Amino acid sequence: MSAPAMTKQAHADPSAAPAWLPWAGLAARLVVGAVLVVSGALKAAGAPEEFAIVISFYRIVPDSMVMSLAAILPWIELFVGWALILGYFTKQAAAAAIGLSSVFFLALLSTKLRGFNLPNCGCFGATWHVPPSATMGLDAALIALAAVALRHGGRRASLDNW
Amino acid sequence: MLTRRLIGASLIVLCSVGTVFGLRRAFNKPVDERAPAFRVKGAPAPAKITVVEFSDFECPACRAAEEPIANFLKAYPDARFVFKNFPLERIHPWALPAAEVAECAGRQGKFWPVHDSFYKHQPEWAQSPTPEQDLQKLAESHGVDAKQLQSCLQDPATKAAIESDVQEGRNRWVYSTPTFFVNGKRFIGGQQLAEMAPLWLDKHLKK
Repeated sequence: MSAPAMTKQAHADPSAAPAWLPWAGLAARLVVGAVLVVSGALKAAGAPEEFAIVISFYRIVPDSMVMSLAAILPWIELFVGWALILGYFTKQAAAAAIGLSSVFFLALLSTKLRGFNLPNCGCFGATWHVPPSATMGLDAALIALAAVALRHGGRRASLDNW
Repeated sequence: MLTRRLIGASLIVLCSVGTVFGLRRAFNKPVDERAPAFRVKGAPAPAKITVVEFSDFECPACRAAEEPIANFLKAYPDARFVFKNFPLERIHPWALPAAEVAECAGRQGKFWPVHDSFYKHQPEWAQSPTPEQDLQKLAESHGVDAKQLQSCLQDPATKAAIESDVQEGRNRWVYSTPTFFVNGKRFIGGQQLAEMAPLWLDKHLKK
């Protein structure tokens, strides 16, 4: 590639991106944010002991940490979810959403590989009982959408632009 | 700049807390209290206290829990008690046949006498070379009609009713029997029901 061409690419005008991309970023942000808010709130609304039982079934976290994780994790989901919906520290929130969804995906994958037969993912508290395989699909979709939000989510209806 | 960040962070905390409190009222239902009327005893719905038990007729711990349950219901006469089947088939091969016979006895209005009898005589029928016949004989000794019992045991609705309980228990992450939900709060085993449930309940009812 010639030097002028590189310069041209390096200084590409972001406004030259398709006009729909910021809207796609906003939609992705709202979808991922809403899923995290609902899953976090349904768990936080119940007793932490109930979510602790779910976590202990995964046999990933040491017993001494299960209760603390059960109390904290739903609130992390909630904060990240609302940060995405409101567009507050959008890039960081989207990165956190990718991290959370990846951890959930890997946790479910590990139970599959170890031959555990979980009754459901346990990710929506006592209200919705989503099968683990469907949740793995949902997590993969959330990772993809959060990546879109990370790249294009901060330009529309965002507190970051306030 | 700092003020804006603080306002944004406060907004997120407020929204999060608001969502949890909103959903707590709307969605956080305790365990499903619905069951055939013959498997329910005590106060009528809606009761101030509801105890849902997930139990297995072949499980010795469930047999041992019968006394704590009776004492609990004596201490809380305004409680409603709901029995749900949770046969642990992998370790108790006769738990499902027992649940089916009890379910059929229930359709003839004899659930509780048969239920009590199955637990009372559990060591005998569970060790017997002919447990299914023994279970049916026990049911018949409480006035269950043999012909109706046989036809009920062939009815797919009988298995479906038990399967529905098992599915609900699995959805609630029940993993051992007996598991009790007292006003939605989980207590595992008769000892927890006897020792911890009254303490929790007295505190909960004061609120």
